[in-house]
Amino acid sequence: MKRKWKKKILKAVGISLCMAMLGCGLAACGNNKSGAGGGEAEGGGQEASPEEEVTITFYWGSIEDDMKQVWYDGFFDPFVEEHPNVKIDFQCLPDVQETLRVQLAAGSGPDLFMVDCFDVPDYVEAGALKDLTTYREQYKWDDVIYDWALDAGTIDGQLYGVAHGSEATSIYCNRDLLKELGCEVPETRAEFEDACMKAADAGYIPIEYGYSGANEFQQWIYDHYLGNYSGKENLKKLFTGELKFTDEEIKGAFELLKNDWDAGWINQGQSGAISNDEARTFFQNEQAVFCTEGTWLTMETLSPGTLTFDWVCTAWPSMKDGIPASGSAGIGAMMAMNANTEHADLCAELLNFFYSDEQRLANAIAAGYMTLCCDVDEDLYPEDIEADIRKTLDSMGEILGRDTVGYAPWSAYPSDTNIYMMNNLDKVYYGEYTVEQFCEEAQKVLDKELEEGFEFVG
Amino acid sequence: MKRMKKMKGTLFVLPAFFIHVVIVLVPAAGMVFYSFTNWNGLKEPEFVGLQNYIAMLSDSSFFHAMKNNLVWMAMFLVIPLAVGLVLAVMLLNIGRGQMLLRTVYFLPYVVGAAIAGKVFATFYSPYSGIASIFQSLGIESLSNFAPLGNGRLALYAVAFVDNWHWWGFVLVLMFSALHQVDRSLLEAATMEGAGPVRKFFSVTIPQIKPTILSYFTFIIIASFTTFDYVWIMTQGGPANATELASTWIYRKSFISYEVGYASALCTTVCMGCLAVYLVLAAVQKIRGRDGE
Repeated sequence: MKRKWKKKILKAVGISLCMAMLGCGLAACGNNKSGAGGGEAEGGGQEASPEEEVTITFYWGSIEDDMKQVWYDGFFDPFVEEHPNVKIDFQCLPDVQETLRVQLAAGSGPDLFMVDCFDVPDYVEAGALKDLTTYREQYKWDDVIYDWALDAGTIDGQLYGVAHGSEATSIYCNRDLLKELGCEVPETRAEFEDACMKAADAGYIPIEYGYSGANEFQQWIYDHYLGNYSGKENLKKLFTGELKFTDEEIKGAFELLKNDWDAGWINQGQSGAISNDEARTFFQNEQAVFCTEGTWLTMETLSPGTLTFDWVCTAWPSMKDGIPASGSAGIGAMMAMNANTEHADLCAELLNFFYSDEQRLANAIAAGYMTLCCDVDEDLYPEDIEADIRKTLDSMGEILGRDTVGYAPWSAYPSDTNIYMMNNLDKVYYGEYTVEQFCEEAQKVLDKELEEGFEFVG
Repeated sequence: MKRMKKMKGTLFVLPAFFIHVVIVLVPAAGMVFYSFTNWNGLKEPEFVGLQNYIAMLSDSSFFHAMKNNLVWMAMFLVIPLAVGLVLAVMLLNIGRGQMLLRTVYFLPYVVGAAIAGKVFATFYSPYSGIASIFQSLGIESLSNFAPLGNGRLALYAVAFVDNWHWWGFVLVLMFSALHQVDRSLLEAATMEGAGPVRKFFSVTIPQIKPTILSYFTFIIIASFTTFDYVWIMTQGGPANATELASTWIYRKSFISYEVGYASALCTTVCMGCLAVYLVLAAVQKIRGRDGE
């Protein structure tokens, strides 16, 4: 009798488990209607009425919590104050682009999101981005946002991305260490070599640089060498097909980089073994003389006051006679709108909110927010602005104000060519490729992109 | 009655099969389809026939990755098995403390790959890791120990970490297998004058051969799906020194957005694994028949 009951109970449990599995499977196949992106609404769907509760989903890359708070304090909270029926779901995701591609390919995704400049053409071709041209005219963005920043988000005359964040590539120098070595902040190749040799002899790391686990940081180093050896005019010629990677004007930059690597100046040849975070600590702890990062280092990455020594942020020194010292202007990322969003007007209003009030922007920058692609009156910054941020703003203005300002790889270089360089430059460092081989392969990738119609927006 | 029983069994299995079809078979079929297309994951895929497979033939990085996979596979076929088996035999002869030791040896297996990878990456750092300890001890020859920055050592350095994670599990597996060894055969061998080494190779190994063969099959296939430690510690670098098939496919898919090409790579690797499995299964079948 007991055995019969046991059998019945087991049978019932088995059937329940099977039904549960079937139910889960069917539920997983259901249409996901959560998220403001929907997935079924066409662009330009009916806008919500003022009384209706609306959630705008906004995806961004991974940022620290205190930086996230600056976004809320500086922009989202004031926006929500003006629109009490609106909630902003701001999600900072690691590998945001991977998540986005999958969601956008499925016709869903957030209302607003971060896009890298070189990804904009792909998203436009796929019909994933909303055309913002009417909003550009409505909000008169041409009067506020830098031309070159708007151009970066414009494809075939239509605007698809609003630039968020302007930055300059630069060199950070520890002036205390340079004084100790009897050197000045270098502006020429000769001065740079002298400082590196003396630093190495004194047991310091001449140039801190680590890219382990993050090949994208390779962009910094080849930007410095290409920009200051080849120069911006030759780079323009390269990306319009007039020059090739194998020409001396371009190849020489990589040969010089390899030379400095072999000399042990670039983090003693250990960059592949250490992360960027670890490399940065060498500069923070005064073990390295030069830092390869751009103005974002002291604008957002490091808290004000972290660098306790006399530091300067300036243009990377000239790497060749006749090519002046320069930094490159870059756009941090683009803000783009989902073509399927149901709240296009509201989202455009939020995009405009970042640029619409100069005082609000000045306050946010003073709190550690990125500089946007527009002018901000110096007098609007609060008097108690952190000294480091003030100093960096001045440096950035000086670098970007030079006639020689170049093109940051992540904003201006053709996408596939840039990815090729990021992922293969270390083969040159470690002797797997000669500079010639690297340049030949890079040229093949560039040729293909030029054939496919790449247009350089330098 | 028999038919009813069969139907009931089929009905119980159907939900799991349905989920398997949806989660595994349909995406796999999709992968094969996309392998014949040029697709960046966003726009409509464009049919290109065998172009991706032809491009694969001239992809030196893929062949380099496959070579690394073979080295990886060789390491995992030998090292965890040797260490796990020898220690399992030793543990079998320990009375007290056996459970404690088994737990201690198994502990690395429960540490997540992300944690272990990051911790070992720090150990391997030329500035803050083992190298600095050697330097402070005055062992100059090892003070530059930075395997993750050395193209020749990086793969072995990462494999060491995965081995450290894995061998405890192999020990437990072999320990269970050793319990199936017929004691009477061992006693007979002892009476015949066989020493411990002879008994191990002539009695123990043949008795646990099915477990070892299953282990080999699993490792051969699993080595081609290895991803976590390599990606966490080196992302295939430096200079592709630790690139494996899985990391190359991931890179092509999610960094270069060549999803069609990555699908072709993936299909090729899957077909290779399937071929290996079928060969091993055939070998096992033949050996089983010969044994009879």
